Amino acid sequence: MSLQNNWREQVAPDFQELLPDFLNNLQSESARLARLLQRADFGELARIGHNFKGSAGYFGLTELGQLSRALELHSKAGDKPAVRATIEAWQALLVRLELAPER
Amino acid sequence: MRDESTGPIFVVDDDPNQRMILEHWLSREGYDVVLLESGEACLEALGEELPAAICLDLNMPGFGGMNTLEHVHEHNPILPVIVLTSDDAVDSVVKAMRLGARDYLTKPLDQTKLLTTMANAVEVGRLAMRVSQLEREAEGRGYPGIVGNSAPMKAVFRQLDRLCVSDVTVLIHGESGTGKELIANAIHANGSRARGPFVAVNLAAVPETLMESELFGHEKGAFTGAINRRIGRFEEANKGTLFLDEIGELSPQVQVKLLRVLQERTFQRVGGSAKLSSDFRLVTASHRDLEEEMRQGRFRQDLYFRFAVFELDLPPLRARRDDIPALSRAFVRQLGDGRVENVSTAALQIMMAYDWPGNIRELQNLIQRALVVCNGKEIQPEDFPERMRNAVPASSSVEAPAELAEFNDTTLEDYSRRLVTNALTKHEGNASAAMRELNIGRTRFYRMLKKFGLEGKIEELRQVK
Repeated sequence: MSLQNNWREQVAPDFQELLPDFLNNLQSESARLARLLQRADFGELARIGHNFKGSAGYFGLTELGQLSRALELHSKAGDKPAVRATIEAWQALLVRLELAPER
Repeated sequence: MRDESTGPIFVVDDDPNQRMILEHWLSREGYDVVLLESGEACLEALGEELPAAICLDLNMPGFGGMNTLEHVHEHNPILPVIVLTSDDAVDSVVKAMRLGARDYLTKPLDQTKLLTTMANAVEVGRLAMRVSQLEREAEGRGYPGIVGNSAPMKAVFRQLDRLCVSDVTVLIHGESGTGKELIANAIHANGSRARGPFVAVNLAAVPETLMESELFGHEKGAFTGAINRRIGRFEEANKGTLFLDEIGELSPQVQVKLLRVLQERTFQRVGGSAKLSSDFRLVTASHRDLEEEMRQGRFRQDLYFRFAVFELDLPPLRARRDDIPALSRAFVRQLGDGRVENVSTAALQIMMAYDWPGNIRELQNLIQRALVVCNGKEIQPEDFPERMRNAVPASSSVEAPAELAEFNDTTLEDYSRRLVTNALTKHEGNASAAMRELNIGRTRFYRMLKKFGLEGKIEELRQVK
């Protein structure tokens, strides 16, 4: 799935002011995902999925919303391979959004 | 326009993004918003502030949304709570509505629906409060044991109406003899904790060496004379109300200890090691000017703010002279043996002219004395002591100082509007810079813009730029 380079400009004017804080939250929570999976902390993973499922839509990030929903469902089911695959897709999305930390 | 007398909106959600979005929408609509990240934080905040409504997420870790709702409804039955939930959680919505939620919203939230629901909830809460006030006024009811029909006492009753449906911490100010304990008792007896104990402690009467033991209790053998374990006042007040009178008399050492207990919400009996907690409503009172005590360094500011969440000012008797006839009759009935039936008009005239430095307690003592010496059915001027009979009518005219004359035609609102407009113009429509200049928060800034009809000003100034 391709994402337009100018996605930030597509965010509704009303939410532009909130975008920097939202992205900060997204980056800090995303940085925890791999470690949580390693610890098999499915409760916390489901919570993160649940939270972003609710808020991604406000910023027009439909794909993030879908991945959040998948993360919540797979975590609740304790399906480790599915959670891993979702987290990989999640990190790939961050790269496309130019939000991934530099390696 | 929003009623400025209502409190803020509590937004309770563990998700920082959701809190941010709710604050964004609600503050732009002119609401004051308090953000809280858990049910525990919400319950603590309810002891410190009285909100107009609560926006509560049901799906939270820890104490959770449902338990929080139950607790809120038990102690603040007419406070409107709007629950937030996922679109797939029908069961929890049904349960929440049964537990007293006013309304529910599903995530992702819709701005228009949120604002409409919130406006309705705040209005319903306001009306419920008004109905209970009007019912009381229509039935001529005050509060049991409190006599008063004067304008200052009606204002006190209106504040009591608000306090009795909440669990907020109250600080009562009033001169000696104005009935502070009576008011504290009314707050307890008409609130959700009425079935629990009302524990009153006059701190001025407790020797400092025994203060800790009095408040927190002691274990057997904790000090010489501690022959048994004793439960302290904090424990005694569990599920009820703790009334600490004369807090202005607390020594600096005891102030520190009290502050720590109120911050940590746990305490230990003297000589004991177990950490105890107690669920009580705190009401305090002082006849001293505590702000002056703080300026003089005699009272801790942090402790003051713990106590002064809701401040209630009791008027001195000289400010509610209209109540003197009813109060006098009440004392004649209460203290007499039926032989004396009333107070004569001449005696009342003297009483109305007197300044009552000792307030209601002085009035009560005067009636008690007069009942002893009175020979007829009515108390007469000669039944009063000499100093009373010579009382000079108090002056009632108050004029504004001449140096304030130039402000006569200007309202506070006019000045505020000019300040906000100037700050925005100076910073060419940059809202953040204007807020910094005015030293106010985002919520308050947007509320002022809305109140003064300046919402279009930012865009207008930016275009000019």
